[in-house]
Amino acid sequence: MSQDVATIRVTRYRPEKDSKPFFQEYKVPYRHDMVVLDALNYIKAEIDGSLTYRWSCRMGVCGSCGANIDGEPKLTCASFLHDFKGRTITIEPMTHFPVIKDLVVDMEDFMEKLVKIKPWIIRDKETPPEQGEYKQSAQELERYSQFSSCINCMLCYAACPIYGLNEKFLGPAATALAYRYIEDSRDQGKDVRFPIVHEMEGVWECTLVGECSVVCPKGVDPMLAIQKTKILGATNALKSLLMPRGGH
Amino acid sequence: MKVETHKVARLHALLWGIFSLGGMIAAFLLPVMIYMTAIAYPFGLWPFSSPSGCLYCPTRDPSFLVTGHLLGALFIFVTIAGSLYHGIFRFQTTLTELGLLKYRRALEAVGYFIIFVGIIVLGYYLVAWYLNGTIA
Ligand code: SF4
Ligand code: FES
Repeated sequence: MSQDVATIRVTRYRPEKDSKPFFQEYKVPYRHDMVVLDALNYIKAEIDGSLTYRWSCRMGVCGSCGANIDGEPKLTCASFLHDFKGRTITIEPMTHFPVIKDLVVDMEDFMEKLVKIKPWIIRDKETPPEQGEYKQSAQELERYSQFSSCINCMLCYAACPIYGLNEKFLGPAATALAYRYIEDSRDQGKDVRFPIVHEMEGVWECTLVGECSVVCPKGVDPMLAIQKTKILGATNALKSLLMPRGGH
Repeated sequence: MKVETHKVARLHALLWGIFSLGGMIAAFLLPVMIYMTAIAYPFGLWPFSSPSGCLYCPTRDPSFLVTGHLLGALFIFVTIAGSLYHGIFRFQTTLTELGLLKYRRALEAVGYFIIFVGIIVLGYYLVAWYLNGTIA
């Protein structure tokens, strides 16, 4: 079977050696079922072993293979080479993150934000396992289920111009995850999470650009989560104004 | 453990609530007001042209909207004030998007000053007109 050849332009950057990032071009033979990640693996195995990038599952689950492909944040394992047929494919590290090496970015800021919103079920008082599980109806699950599909790929942060301008902004995925727990009927941690998401650098920084929801590979709609969290913030603020002892 | 939301953020939440309300007003009422006051009334179009008048208005004669009835004045006040407030809030977000974070606070302050003065002046005239009988 005949093979096409893709021209791949990849950002190279080794901070200890290079003063600034530069592009390196490679020719990669490919079959119809190959994705951009396969091309990177081919380059690493056959042409240049020093090329550095993250990946793990190769099936859109682990969220580690994000990069800017032709300027758009995408999972390299979910982007088929044939979709770019006839043109050079440019692969760059995700924007808005410091680069550690080549396509590998520093995730620390995102990780800190994830931990900050406490992405686990908080109970006022844990009941012993013998008392059974915390039950939930299908409708209750429906309220948050799309927000629990996040794979922490950070593509939404790479797409968000506001995060690019202000890295203190809590950002799309962390808010979507916070909202996932706020809406979970089993969770009792609203009083802990509201002050985090409703801080000035929480949801209020968002200007509703909406690119986060466009690029998300898992169909999560972080913009919706942010809007709903804003509505909760406004309602809580009004409540606490009218009932100073009872609101959040 | 309950951590208090910062007071500035709480105030911002309230202002955002008004902004959202202002957005609805700008989307739904502003076109109605423009149509009524700038097109329909001066050109004698519906509902001013219709003998049965406006079906949904509190009086069958819709001219109360533009000829000094208190309800008409309130409608115009809410529409203009809501839309102006929505506009200034949106202006802030444009400043953020343009990367003018450094100047945002100062420009916001100027914007808020203009809007609040505008709303207060509008309110003042409406009350004054009501008190001297121009609006009945
Ligand atoms: S919300 Fe979507 S784009 Fe953002 S980190 Fe989660 S899966 Fe990735
Ligand atoms: S390698 Fe796991 S999501 Fe792409």
